[in-house]
Amino acid sequence: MPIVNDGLQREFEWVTRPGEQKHIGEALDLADEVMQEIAYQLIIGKNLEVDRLTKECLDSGYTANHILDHGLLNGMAIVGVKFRDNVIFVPEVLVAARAMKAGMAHIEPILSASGIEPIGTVIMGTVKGDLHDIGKNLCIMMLRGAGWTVHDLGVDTSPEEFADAVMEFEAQVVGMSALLTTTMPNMGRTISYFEDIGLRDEVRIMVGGAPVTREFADEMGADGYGENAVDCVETASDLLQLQKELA
Amino acid sequence: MKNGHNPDPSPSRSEENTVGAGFKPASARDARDGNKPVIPAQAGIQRKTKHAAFPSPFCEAKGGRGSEATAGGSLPSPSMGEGHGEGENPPNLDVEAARKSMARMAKIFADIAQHAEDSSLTRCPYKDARSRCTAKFGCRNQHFTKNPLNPPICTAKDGDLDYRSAWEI
Repeated sequence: MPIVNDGLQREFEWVTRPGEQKHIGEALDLADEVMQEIAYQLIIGKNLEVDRLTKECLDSGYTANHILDHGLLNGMAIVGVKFRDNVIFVPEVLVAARAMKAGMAHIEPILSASGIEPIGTVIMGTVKGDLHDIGKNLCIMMLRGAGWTVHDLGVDTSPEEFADAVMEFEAQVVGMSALLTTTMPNMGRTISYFEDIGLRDEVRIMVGGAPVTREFADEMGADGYGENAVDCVETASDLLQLQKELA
Repeated sequence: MKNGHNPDPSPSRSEENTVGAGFKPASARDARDGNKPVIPAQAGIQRKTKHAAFPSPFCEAKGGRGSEATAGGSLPSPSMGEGHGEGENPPNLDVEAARKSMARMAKIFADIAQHAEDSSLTRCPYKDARSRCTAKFGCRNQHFTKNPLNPPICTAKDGDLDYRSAWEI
């Protein structure tokens, strides 16, 4: 059906490359009015609306596949185009990703019940004393998109909070972020705390952030280092494999 | 920007992701955890008792869709399909299609992350489309308006490469 949602129609106008117009347009042709509304609400970052609509659609008989493809992913595809073309920027993308997560919260149990389990569990946080979170949030977005279960501890996270989360969620990987040179040492302090309480062998630790280097990561005793959000998923996957081998 | 966006991109501290949708069979995880394997049909029954006559996933895989939304706002019920027997996947999922969807999602996010990496060289990543600062920390480029409820405006020009030093205050 044609796009009947006015908001989505306006958003689709940002898609100007012919190939993308065809690809996304054809996908939107398969989206009925409700799916178009989900896509639109995701694009504008209304996580509560996406949450409500996704739940209602599942309750009323839409399949998870249908909602995923024609609602959530159609919306996220347009977000990706708008971001690439500098119509929106990182904050808006992260808000849309949060809306995506709200919808996926209802889809994920259905995936799990069919054997599509999360790849693993990772704890993410910015270290104590550091309030910079955008790199961490991009990593979290990537990890979730790649199929990880992520528990976000936010910013200014103490070693105790990291350790508690690892135990509570039985995480295999911890990701620590720092932006400031003054807070980088808190990564090492967190690793030392893990050693002190006997938790170090239970989890693999990766670190990242603008001032962090591979050498610094090695010196601190981290298991992995990610230069950016793209690296993050691969690093986490490598560490998960390592953890399995060591277990 | 055409539409209003929530300027706060940060999830809550205790927020838990349930987006997980990887590609590992349940059996592998169960072997690791020592749990009994999840029987999809059973898992689906518990969650979906109200959908005893759920449509076949094949209806959707072949391009089917739910019926149109009603004017009253209540959601429609898709057309009915065949029933599901023991041992089949939950009636609300075509597994292979879901795997393809998850791969598509990962690709979208990977492209976004790559562009974020590139664009962060010339524009502060905390600066939104309305040039508002979304950071929760101080920055020399923040300009606060008279209304304390409004987020600060970012005064840095795009193209400046030294915005990170402005953060360290």
